[in-house]
Amino acid sequence: MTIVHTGLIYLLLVGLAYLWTLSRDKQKAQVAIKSGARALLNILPLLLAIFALVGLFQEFLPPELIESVLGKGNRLLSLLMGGLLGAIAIGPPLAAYPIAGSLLANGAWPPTVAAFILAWISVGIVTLPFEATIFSWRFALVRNGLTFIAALFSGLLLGGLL
Amino acid sequence: MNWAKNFLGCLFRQYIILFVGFLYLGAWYVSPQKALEAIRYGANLFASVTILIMAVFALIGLIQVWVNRDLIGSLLGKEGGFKGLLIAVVCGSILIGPSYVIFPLLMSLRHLGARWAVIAIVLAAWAIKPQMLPIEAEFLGFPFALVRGGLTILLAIPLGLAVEWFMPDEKQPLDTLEK
Repeated sequence: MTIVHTGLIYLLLVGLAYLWTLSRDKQKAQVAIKSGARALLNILPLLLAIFALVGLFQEFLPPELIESVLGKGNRLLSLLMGGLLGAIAIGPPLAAYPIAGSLLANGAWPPTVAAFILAWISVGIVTLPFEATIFSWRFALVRNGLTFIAALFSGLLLGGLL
Repeated sequence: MNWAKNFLGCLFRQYIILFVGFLYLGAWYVSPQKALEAIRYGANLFASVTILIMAVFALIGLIQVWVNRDLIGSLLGKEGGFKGLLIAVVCGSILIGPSYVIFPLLMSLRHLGARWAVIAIVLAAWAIKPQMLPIEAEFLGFPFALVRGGLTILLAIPLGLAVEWFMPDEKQPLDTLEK
């Protein structure tokens, strides 16, 4: 299932909810679609900038580079690097798994790989300005900082459990 | 106050756009081909999530007209207690889509009275990705994927509460989404 399919399913469900709203209260549906559209227009320029940024990172931080950095060196340092690279990298988790898999296959320390995946999915340095605009800088910095620490910690735990 | 806020918001947006523009200038200087590839990648990504983005913002509109502030407050606010945090874990683990699409959705709940911990827990639990488990297991092995997911579930609530602990405890301004 690609992200387009997911989007279509979401759209279908939301469309049904709108039909239901229309049948109940026409005015409510109008207010809803208008306020949704306004929120989207407000955020759109920023969203476009973030997508451009994502493209840049994809192009200048290729998987081979990540692998060459994480494959060697001292363990704790590699754990930290794993978290950091995961935090900087951005993209669907589907893109993280193959990189992580080849890291493991090449003998990388499992905690490093786990920290890499966790940070990849839930810490976003590239999207930080966007998160800050939506929620406030304080929330964005606290959440990303604590999640980063949690990613390293879970990485270590995972190494101990496996 | 409102115009000042709007003005600052505009400036801030431009600052990010300018920043990205400068990065692209630098990238172009290093390698025009790579810069083009980057913009192409970003555009493709945007095209692939357009439908999702439209659906999410349509949903934000619906939430604003249907979802009652008292309901959100009692379920996902401080009064919701531990049950609210559990709901956040479940919601986070089944939400699909890039996080930056989910941010505005969560903020609309925050405006309706959801507590910070709930927002942070949804974002933490969002990394569990049960729907991806088979794929993760294929690349990393079943034990790795299972333990990774399990640890993410266990840490979601403590992490969310820790984030909330760092946030000021003021009554949030209950404006609309205009910002």
